[in-house]
Amino acid sequence: MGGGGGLSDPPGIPLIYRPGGGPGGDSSGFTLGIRAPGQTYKQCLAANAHTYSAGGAAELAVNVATGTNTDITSNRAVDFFTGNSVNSLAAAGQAPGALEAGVGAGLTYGRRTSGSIALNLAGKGGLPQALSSSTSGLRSVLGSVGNALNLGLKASTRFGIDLGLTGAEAIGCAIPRS
Amino acid sequence: MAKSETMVQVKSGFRIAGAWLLGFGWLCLVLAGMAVAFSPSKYPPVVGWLLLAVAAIILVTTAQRWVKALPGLLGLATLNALFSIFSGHATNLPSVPISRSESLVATLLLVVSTALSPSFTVRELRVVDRLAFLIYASCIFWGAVDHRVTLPVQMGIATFCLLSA
Repeated sequence: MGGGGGLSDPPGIPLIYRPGGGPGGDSSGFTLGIRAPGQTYKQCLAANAHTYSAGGAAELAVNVATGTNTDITSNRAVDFFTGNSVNSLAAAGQAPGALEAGVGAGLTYGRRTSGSIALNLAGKGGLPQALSSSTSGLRSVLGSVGNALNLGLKASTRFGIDLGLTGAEAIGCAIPRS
Repeated sequence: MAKSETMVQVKSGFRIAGAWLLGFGWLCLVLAGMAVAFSPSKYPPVVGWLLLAVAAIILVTTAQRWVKALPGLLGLATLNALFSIFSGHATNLPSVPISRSESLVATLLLVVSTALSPSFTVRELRVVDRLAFLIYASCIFWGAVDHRVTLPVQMGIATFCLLSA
């Protein structure tokens, strides 16, 4: 009922590399490659995505160390916290901070004392903006959204871990398992 | 001057990396404890419970340090849950399906948890706060050993603990 996890192998996950055997594992010797014979690069990435997450890596290490064969991090609630965010966010096409960066700064034009763009014209008034001052409110809101996504923790720090794991997976899948 | 700034940044980088490695070590401790306590292994189950007790003590006693990372962790968990609404499966695990309603409820509860979490970072943590964190973590891992527990129940109790604190 509340499954999706538990202390047993989840059904239907083929070709997960497990040192010492298991589905798709190679117990005959050490190899850097994790792509099984006949498996495409994309299939390899999909099959090993969980193994190359913080939770998956920790569980693999624990299973090797203790001689157990658990699948705790496949539980859905655990997976929300330990899953590889880079993979999921890459699919969603989002990144914290991108929202604010996309709006950019308001460009000034015309009249006096415009430091960023020429075409200074005589007349009263300050610096009209290509993006009206009302958009500063929008930028503020979007900035808050970006900050909320960062949530006091540098996104690069947290994403760096998942990015590193994703990179390792990409390299591993690039090398066929002999 | 520039050299000292560089050194400060290098030290800061090592400190951050070290903190994350310690977090990874704590996760390994919990997973090892659960593996030994709840599944057949070469160690007696009492060793697993001992490891879980050590992990719980570490979680409670060091809460003031790691609580700064809590909003970020919860925020990313929220994003993962949000993604599962559209994908229909767990993060990185297409073989573990999640119904839209379940993932929607989980996302909403995680949003509430995330919204609550910054308040913990700006104040001195009380015993109640630390116990709430312990119950929250227990609820997250609970479903992995008890298949009767549903995702909304797990997340609901966890969020209620943060709300109560």
